[in-house]
Amino acid sequence: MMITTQKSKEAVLSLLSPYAKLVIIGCGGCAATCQTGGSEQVKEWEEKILGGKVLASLISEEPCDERIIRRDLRRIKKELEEADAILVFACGLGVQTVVDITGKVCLPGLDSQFYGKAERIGRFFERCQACGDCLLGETGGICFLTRCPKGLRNGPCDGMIDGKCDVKEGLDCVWKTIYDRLEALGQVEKLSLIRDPEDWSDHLHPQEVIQQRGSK
Amino acid sequence: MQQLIAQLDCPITGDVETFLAAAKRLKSAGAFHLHDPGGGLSPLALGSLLQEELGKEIYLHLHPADRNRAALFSELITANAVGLEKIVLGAGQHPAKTLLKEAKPVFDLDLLQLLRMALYTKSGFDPAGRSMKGEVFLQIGVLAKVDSPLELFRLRQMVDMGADYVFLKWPSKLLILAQLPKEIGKPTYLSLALEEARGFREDDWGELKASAVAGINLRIPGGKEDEGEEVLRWYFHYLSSES
Repeated sequence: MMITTQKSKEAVLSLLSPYAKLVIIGCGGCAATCQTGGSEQVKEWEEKILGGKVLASLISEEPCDERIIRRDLRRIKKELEEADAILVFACGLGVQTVVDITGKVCLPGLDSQFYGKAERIGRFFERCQACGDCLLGETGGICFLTRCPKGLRNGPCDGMIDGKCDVKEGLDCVWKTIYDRLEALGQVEKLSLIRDPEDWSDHLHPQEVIQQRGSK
Repeated sequence: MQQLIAQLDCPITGDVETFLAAAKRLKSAGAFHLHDPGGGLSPLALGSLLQEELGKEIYLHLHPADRNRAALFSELITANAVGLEKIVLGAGQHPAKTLLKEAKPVFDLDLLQLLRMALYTKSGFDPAGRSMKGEVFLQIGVLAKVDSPLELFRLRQMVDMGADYVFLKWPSKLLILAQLPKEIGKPTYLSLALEEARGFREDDWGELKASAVAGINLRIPGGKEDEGEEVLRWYFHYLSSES
């Protein structure tokens, strides 16, 4: 899931200051789990902070899915037309999808931080870089790109001290973790493979995946 | 006789004169190892100057922390072109731990990938696989430490890949001076911080002298060149003595 944090109240108010009539959109998916953009957070902004400026609000289950948000926005079509700006409590994907559909001024209430797992509510950990070449099968299911501050494909570096990373205090060296895991799985020979560097020409931004209809 | 190498950080200022004057005071150093700590003067440029002024061997430290593969390849072929043949490849310090901590970490290559590229260059090929004009005289070494089986495994991989020599950081728990350098089978230099060397007892120096290491690489912080010279001079005389 996309892990988000809320922008500061001052930062959001500063973004909103030129606009008098607002609509608020929250996210019932990732942002709700992160407790940054779900119904509680939207309600707080609507009732306590922005008051009379808000014409309408809604929570969309997936503001990043154009089919879903387009359907949801029909419920507040009139208010949307009247609004000067839309405050979106979703990750950057959600904000940009709303922009694409409405063409309105859309302002982010959140900062997208990383793709992470939720250990429990309030504890989120980065686990994926969307590198496009998942090598978890070679590393006992542990991502070196995400969990090594240097993103080393063939670690460790000489900064590993007693199994700890010298870049981030308290962080276990992921390559030590991978080694221990492969050893436990009886797969240490996988370390013999020296991975090639990334081919960046394969990842020109912005990327896209277009599936042919009917293809698997 | 073991080679005595003084490792110096290239200054993060434009003051070449002070750097050269400090290097000149390291009379007991048989060679210099130049390392850019991040944002420093170019080791290539300083190495050329030092070689010209002092006629001593230069080891150039190359790391991928702030250079992508294009820039690293450029450094290799430029070093070759200006006659700086000895390269030491390191893993590189993350910018968050350097003076320019806000800088973007590059690490386009890791140490093993950098070694592979460097050895390929040494064989006369560019990264696109094309044969290069002119001879390549580079000798490629790696900096490593061996505190764990994993690090020892990686060191062996690098030696098998074809590294010409190895700089081993002290302390390294699995480094047995009498044994590991012979096992590695390539010239092995012990890399010591100045403070570590000053903490060595006579037994430690004796063990070092008796070992199979090809030399020591003494990491000398800026401003401590006189202390570094003291250590190197002492060890030079110790090596030369009968005891």
